Amino acid sequence: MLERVKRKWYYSVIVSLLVLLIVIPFDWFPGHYTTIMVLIGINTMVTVGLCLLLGYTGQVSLGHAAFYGIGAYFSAVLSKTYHLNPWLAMLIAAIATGAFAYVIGYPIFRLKGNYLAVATLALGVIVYILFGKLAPGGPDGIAGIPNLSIGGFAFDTWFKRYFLVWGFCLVVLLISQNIVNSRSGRALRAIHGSEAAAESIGINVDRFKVKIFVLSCVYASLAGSLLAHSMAHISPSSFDPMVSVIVVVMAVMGGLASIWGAVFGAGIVVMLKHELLLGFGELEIIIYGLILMLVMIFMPEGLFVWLKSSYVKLKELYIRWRLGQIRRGAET
Amino acid sequence: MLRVEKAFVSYGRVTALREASLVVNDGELVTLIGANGAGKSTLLNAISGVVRLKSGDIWLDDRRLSGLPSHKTIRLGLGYVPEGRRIFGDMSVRDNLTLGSYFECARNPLSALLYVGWFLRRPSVQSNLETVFRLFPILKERQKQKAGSLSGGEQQMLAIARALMASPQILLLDEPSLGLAPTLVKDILKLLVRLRDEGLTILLVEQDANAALKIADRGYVMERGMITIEGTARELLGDDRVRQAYLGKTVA
Repeated sequence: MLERVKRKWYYSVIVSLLVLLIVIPFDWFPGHYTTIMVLIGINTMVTVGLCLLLGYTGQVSLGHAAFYGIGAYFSAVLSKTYHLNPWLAMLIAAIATGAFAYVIGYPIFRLKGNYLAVATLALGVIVYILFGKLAPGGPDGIAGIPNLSIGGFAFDTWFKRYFLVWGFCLVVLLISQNIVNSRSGRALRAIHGSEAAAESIGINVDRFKVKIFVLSCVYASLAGSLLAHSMAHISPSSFDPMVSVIVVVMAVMGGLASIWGAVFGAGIVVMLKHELLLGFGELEIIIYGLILMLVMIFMPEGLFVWLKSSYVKLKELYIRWRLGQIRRGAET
Repeated sequence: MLRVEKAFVSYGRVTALREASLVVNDGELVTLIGANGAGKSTLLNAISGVVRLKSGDIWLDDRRLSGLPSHKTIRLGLGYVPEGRRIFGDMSVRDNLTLGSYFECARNPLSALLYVGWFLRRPSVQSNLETVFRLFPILKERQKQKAGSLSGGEQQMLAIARALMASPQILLLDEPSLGLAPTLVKDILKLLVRLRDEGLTILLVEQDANAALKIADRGYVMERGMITIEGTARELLGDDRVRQAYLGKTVA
């Protein structure tokens, strides 16, 4: 019974999400929400990658903005300065980021726990500084990045970009969902559970960690490329270490071990950032900290799982109430 | 046949194994006994590849195990039940078991792109599951339960069952009796005898020398990283040195 409720819930969430996604961008919707939805899609991609790494494999990364930025910068420089086709630029960016993650993954994943967190944080800071010092444009960044286009059809309005980004995002979500449900997903959770035990049943722990890290960095890179081609302007400040922290907030908020939760986490945080917290300036960071604390205390498994279990609880309450009603009806 | 030839292991300056050698023939239940810190677990870790040998050799039939990391030795037919059970508490019993035959099917995260649940449900995994459920009916009953909610004895059974899911040629057990009530220990040991009778080769590391020697075919006694006494289980049970040191009996 519970199993069926859960499954029904799962499908209804996906279907309503899809319907919502298709309905949102049309004219009756306040214009700038389309832009916000694009940002949510991009952030979701980064968040899902982090969920795979942090929630399922149990490996911390506090430097994901670095890979997000590398993707964006590769895309921007290749397509603007070298006039490469933006799609090709995006592909090269993803490959380069993946290769970088692979090279850096082996040494960095020898570290565990807090040490890993510090190392990835440092990586984020280093890459951020390099963007400002070495990358073209320096602290001002790069402007005039060309749009993505298919044949003559350019993704030049937010309405069009919306579908592009969410198309990518859904593919990433589905791939991740598949990974999590497959044997590899179980292996990831096994590594999370106990590395020694995972090793003892024949899982190559080191390689697995690096592979999932590479995948998650490629997600971030794709998101970065989409950001660059959508915004047409990027600067180092879009990828500062605070961004990594915000991605962690999104992941925690949606539920670390929940793929679809990432959409909610990214959605809520982006909405907060661009709507509710506009006037707060520096205070923004305090509010993120507060949210992180509250979520950890009251819904440690994240909003998505919390909603799911409340739904099941409500349903049970309703059934009990109905049963009581029927019984009372029978008595009179 | 498992052969360990002059295995030498040291952790920094501390030498844990000094040229320990032993042989486990096919279909035998061999036990390795000794005091705390004698190097029993180190020897098992060396065989399974968790610890690297400084010198010496380990062979499983004609396959060389020494120098291989543990995820590779498992693929060569070694089943390893580490000390302290180490099951995956958050996962269901069934998922724990399926993970046991993990390497038979999984390749890499990218193979999952083409994943369709029923399509990849390999027959070998299914038949392994049935075999294991036949041996451990209790696990079949509890297959949907979270592994962490099992009792200590059941968790130990799950750990053994998980190792069996890889259909190993030889099973290494590191103190399966640790932290279990005496009756449960008896159950586990009985189970090992049954597995041996079905043709599995077993190397058992135990603190409880008496119980282990009663079920074993042969035994080795380890002291300070060296094999000091070896013989059939009956010989060892009757050996004065063993009786004095490990069986808690004074020599008449």
